[in-house]
Amino acid sequence: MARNRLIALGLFAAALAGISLVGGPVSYGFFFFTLTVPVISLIYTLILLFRFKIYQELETRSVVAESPVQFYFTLQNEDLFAHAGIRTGFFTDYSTITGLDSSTVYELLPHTGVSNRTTLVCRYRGEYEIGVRTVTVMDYLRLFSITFRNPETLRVTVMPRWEVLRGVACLEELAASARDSLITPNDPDVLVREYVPGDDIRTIHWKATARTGQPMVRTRIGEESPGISILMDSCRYDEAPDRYLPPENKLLETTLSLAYYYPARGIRTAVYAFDQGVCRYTLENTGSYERFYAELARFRFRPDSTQEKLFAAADTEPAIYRGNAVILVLSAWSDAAGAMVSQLGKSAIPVLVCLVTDEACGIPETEEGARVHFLTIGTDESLTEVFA
Amino acid sequence: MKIFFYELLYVSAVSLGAATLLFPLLGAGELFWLVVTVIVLLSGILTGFKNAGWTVRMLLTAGAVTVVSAILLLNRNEAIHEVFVGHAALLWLPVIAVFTFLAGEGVARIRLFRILVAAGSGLSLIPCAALSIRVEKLFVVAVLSLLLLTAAEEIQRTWKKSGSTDGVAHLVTLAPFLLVTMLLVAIAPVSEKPYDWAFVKKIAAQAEKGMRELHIRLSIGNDRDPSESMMGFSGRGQIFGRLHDSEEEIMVLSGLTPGIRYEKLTGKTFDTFDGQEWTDTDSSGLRDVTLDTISLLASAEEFTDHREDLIHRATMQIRYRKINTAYVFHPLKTIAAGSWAAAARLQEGGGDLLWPGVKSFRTEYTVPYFRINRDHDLFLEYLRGSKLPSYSSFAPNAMMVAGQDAADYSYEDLLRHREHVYEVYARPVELSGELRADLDALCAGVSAPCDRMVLLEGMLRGLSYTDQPGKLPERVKGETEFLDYFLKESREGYCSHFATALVLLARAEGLPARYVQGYLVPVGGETEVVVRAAMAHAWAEVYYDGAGWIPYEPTPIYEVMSRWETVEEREKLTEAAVVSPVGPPEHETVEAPDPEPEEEETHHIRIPWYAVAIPVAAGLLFAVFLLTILKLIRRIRFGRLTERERFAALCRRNLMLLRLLNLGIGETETLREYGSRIAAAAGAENVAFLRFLEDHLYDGSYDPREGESVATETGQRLAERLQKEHPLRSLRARMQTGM
Repeated sequence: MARNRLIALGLFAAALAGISLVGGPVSYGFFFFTLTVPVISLIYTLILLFRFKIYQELETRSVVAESPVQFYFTLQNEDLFAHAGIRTGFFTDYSTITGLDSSTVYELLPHTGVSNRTTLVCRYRGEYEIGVRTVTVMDYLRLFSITFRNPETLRVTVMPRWEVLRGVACLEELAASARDSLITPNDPDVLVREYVPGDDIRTIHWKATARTGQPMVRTRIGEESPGISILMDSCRYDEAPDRYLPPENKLLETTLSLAYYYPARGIRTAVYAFDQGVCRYTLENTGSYERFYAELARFRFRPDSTQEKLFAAADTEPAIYRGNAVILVLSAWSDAAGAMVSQLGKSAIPVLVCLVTDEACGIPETEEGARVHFLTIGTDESLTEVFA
Repeated sequence: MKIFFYELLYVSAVSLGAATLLFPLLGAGELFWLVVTVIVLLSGILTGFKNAGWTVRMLLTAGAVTVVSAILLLNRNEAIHEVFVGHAALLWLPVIAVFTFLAGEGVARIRLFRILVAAGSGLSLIPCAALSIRVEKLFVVAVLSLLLLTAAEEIQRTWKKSGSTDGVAHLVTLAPFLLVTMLLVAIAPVSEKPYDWAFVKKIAAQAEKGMRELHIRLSIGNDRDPSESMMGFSGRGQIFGRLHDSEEEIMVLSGLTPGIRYEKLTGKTFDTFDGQEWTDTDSSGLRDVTLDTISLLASAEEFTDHREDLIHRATMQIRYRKINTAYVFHPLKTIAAGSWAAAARLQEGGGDLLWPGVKSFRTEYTVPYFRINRDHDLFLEYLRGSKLPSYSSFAPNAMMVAGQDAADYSYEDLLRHREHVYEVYARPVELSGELRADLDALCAGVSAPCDRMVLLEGMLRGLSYTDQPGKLPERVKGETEFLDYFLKESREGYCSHFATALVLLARAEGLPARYVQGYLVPVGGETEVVVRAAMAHAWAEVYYDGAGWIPYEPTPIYEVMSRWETVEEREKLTEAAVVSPVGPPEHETVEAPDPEPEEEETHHIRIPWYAVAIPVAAGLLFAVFLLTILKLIRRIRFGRLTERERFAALCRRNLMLLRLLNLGIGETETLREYGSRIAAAAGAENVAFLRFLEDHLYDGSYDPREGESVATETGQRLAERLQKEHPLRSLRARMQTGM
């Protein structure tokens, strides 16, 4: 394009020199030619700007992070003249489209279109724009190109992903301490309920099962057995989306994965977060995980939902201190977190601290005797590999 | 169709160019547009003939027959016959059209040939322009069209794109933009002369002016003393040194009276000469400049009733440019009073006008002053009897000049001014004996001081002018030595020497005289003039009672004259111009009668009705005949096909009809899917043939006769429907299929 512009400019300069020195149809004709060609090319480009049509659609509006989804993309020419050069740019900050190259230039003859069906992967949980970001239109002589922002972008709400963790040692330790509180065969338990897929088979009440002919599992009544409490850091630490989306995405992913791990083993789990007040999400069993996931996936991180507020609110939740173990899922280590761990240590509650960060940090100091286990999780790391 | 339009683009460009190029060879005179149109049209028709189906070819042939028969019939008309006889070369038009068609086809089809023709024809314009070879504008348009088409196609070829990249379709669908481009070029104005970039020159002049003013602002210093090198003018009275030849613009004078040849602008006056240099010791606190002017007005009024014979009131606007000065440059006999003087807060001292501070670039002021008719005999006569005006004349003139400030200009002030002038400017100068004898001889018999001054001025103007007289010898230590050296020994110099000499000689005659430095501006009759540094000048002024200071120009090379006709002279001239005319004797004139206009032979071209009706009828008949033959041929051919081939042909026709009914098959659609999709819109009975077609295409297990029957009936139904819903498409279908 630069070459063509230089040639056009050079010819125009030559034409100017021509009419300055010589009269006649040749010099004037050439001058108006070098003047008119770029003007008409520019007009063509401007017409293209207003006449160009683009359609894009996602297979589903509900997208899960790092899960491919079908993306349909169509460029259409509804005019009587060719669209000589169209190029599209895509949002690439938080999503990836396979099979479509931003450098590809398309030509569309009248009443024709280009359709592509490909896959799109959103990297992080959150709400952001995907698909076509910019459109560049060019004229037939490659003199002009105008880039404009796509006014009709696709905005999606991406749900967090989660993983099914299996046989993680540090998690098993906590599970073991929690399982101690499980009902023993001699404990009086009154209520049983029907078995639902996902319940730990160790909680099956065989007598009730034999009696009813259907698998029945124990349900504790009376004093609640909290099992595992997960405290999730609720603070948004940065204004820029490329800074806050990855850690928040991994925080939720870790919380959701951990929250699923224990109920799958018959251990009740509660997740505590802070959003203008303490938010409590309980998960009795994996059967209600879908509801739990939907509620927690909508959680909003805020800059003023600091760790101090979270832990202060957690102090008002007796169930946490009656529980058997606590998992802290944090973006950063703070004095408030240290104080919380100390407090939990005084109550002899084992703590697992999951630090979601890309920065290299050492193990924070804690009081001697505290049963604390630290784990660092990178924002792009697989939980399975981390917990392996 | 796209191939046709694609080829038509190139064929049209080539035929247009060839037609304009070959036209001079045809000798068709004023038939330029007819020739070009016919050639381009014929080439286009040939292109259409080549790309069309047989039906269109037949119709075009029928049209050609119509035209030929019309020409043959019309040829019987003598007027039209003369057109063809007179321009026999027109018979070559079809040949040229065929040639240009073939060339255009070659350009369209062969890439290398296209590039060579486009480049060659483009380059051929260069010598045409350089050597002023006359070419038609249409030829230029044709060549540029070809270049544009070639460029668009080559750019498309090298541009890597996805999607529909068919170069032919690309060019055809972009043709409207290309055609608009060339149309604008075709209608653009053309001049035989190179373009006069008047507005650019104006912009350049404005820019240059701006740059010059910026340069002036930057180069003007803040020093109070005027820089001699910059302005030429000096506030010091040195009479030696290098003359300034700088063309720097010092100031601009405008609003001048038309017809003035020269204007002197006084900068500074000097009174004392020590042999080498003039100094200013005049410390008068009187408003000498204005008093001098009022004195002139009053005394002139006492001398003559027509004061305008001696003095004229004028104004000039002065605008400083590259100057930094405390001196108010002004003409002699300025009115340094009134609103302009008050606004500028002018200061008068020692015969000079001064600004309150230092003025520089863009200072503007309007000076009212009086021009004197110095070189008129009447003025000389006035000077001979010049005396101080009386109070009765002075007071009203003071009122007229100074207005409400007249009280500042009293008669007593005038008397004190005169006394001061004689005290400072009339110090006696002693001449050497030899010089005194020479001057006495020169002025022998002339008693009036003003007349003696004229003689002395003339004597000095007889010396030589040089811009490099060298320094004065050290022995010149006074006025007497200077005069002896200059008048006896050197006898050459520049303005400073001559002015100094005249001042000293005037004083030797007992007249008050002063040395003046300023600018001598050659106005040349213009009303606006630029004062340049090289115009810096020195001259002498002599004081006469009543008239005040009167300038003299002793420097040889300057012819400074201020003279205009008196009222009496003008009246005499007016009388002399009135002469009674004596015309020729009256005599009868017989006008020749207007010749009767000759009757022109008019040749009206009358086209008889049969000359139109017969060819049209012949063409139509021929077309019908051809179409009938074509239909017969198709039927015979169809009959010779096998059953399966006939079925296939019928299916193709039905699919075409469905497409014309906007029920065409999709690109990736199977026949079954297609049938299911259009069953509702087309009717189940009209898609039944698709089942047979599917069998025909895949395994061939079907009854061809039944299939043919179904297809035939379907075709009839679809044709009827098409005729009802889309009559034009129906006609097209008929022409294509010969139904």
